[in-house]
Amino acid sequence: MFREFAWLDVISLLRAAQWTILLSLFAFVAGGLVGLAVALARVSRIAALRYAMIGYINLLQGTPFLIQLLVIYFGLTFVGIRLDAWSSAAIALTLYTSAFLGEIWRGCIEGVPTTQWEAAEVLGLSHFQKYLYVILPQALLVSLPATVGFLVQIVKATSLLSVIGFAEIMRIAQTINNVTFQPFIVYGICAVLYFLICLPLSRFSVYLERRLHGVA
Amino acid sequence: MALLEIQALRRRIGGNEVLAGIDLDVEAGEVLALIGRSGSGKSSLLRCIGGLDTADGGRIVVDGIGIGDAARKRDLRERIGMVFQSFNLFPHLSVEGNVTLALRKVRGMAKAEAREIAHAMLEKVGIADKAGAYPRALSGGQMQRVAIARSLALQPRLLLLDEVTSALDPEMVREVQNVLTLLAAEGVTMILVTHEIDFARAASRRVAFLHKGRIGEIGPTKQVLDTPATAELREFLGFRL
Ligand SMILES: Nc1ncnc2c1ncn2[C@@H]1O[C@H](COP(=O)(O)OP(=O)(O)OP(=O)(O)O)[C@@H](O)[C@H]1O
Ligand SMILES: [Mg+2]
Repeated sequence: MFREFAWLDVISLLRAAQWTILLSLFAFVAGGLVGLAVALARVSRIAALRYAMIGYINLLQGTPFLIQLLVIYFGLTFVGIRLDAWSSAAIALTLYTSAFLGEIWRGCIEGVPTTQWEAAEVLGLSHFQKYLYVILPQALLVSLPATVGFLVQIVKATSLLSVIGFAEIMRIAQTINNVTFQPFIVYGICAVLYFLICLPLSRFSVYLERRLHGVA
Repeated sequence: MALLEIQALRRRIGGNEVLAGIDLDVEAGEVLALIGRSGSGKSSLLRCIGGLDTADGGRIVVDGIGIGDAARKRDLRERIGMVFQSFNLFPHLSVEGNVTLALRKVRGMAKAEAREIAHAMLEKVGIADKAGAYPRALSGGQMQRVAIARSLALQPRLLLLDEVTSALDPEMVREVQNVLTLLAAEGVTMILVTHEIDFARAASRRVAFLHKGRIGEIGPTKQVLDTPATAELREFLGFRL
């Protein structure tokens, strides 16, 4: 039944890597959009909204991503909601990412000095304009290193999607390993692939950090 | 009717009467210097007039509009400009961006028009050559002049300045003071909080001495500074008792 590990398998893994990247990008964009809303709600003037977001963030940061994924994929069937792997992955990634990015950005929004709000106030900017033109640009700039750094976490988190059958790197690696039984080679290549995806991101994050401190 | 009318203004912070009943009128075109010890309530008074703090009692009327009149909040904002000790420029915007932001977004001007005004204002404060620079590349004196230009661009009827030279090196104090003296001569109505008595003497028509949240003395600059009537002001000014 076993066969040799072949070059073809490397190609399969590279194809799977495309999925890993695509899923990561999706998580970043969708989670980023929701995360921005989470961050804004978290610093909202409406107390109920703030508390709701504290709950949301704590819930998602306080449980493993794998559990969240399984609850959404399998757990929801108990309440009559059947989601396919795609929808489950999309929802789980978005929730997870939004909680973390929301919390990172909340900190950066709150880090903008009160005096910036006051300067914007005396110029007559509306609440919305203060956010749009004064607070968010500064907060997002400061958040860049941490944001890009978190991208690395997302990439690694996508490996867990293999449990619901997604054909990303880990899933393909498992199937190849099942027929070749050469885990060292197969998972070694996986590790290299993840490393090659994550290294530029973490280097970029460090670079941004240095630049930011250089100019601030 | 005076441009600014304040009656029985009170503000309390944590059981502490920071402003304990202020009555004050400022005429259009006048420059009033506000002096007093640290903690006497100068900033608090300015922040109440500027709408950054809310009073606990009394009335503030600017150009006939009462502060707290929610329906006319915008009209009021247009009339009052404020410059801070720490400049508070927007670090992510260029000098020109700082000055044009409100012109464009609040006043709804086209880019070209806003730039023209910004340029004129920067010219006035002597810093037009730095229009494209970012705040971090400027000296303190330059930043403060940009902050003044940013405020002036909106043509406020009343300009509030809270120790705008206190964070500056001595050689830069003068360049900012010169700008303010120029504005005073042009008839811009200003209330300026300052610790520099010589500057108050040169730039203001009247002086108000704040003491423990009250106006201890107020009158023509020369009179108040040369012949202080109260022991507190004499002591503050360093007179021999
Ligand atoms: N946010 C605050 N919380 C608590 N107390 C405050 C606050 N702001 C001002 N105060 C108090 O109010 C009083 C008046 O302060 P204010 O800043 O108006 O004084 P000031 O005359 O501007 O002093 P300075 O010359 O030091 O700037 C002080 O006793 C100060 O401690
Ligand atoms: Mg003060």
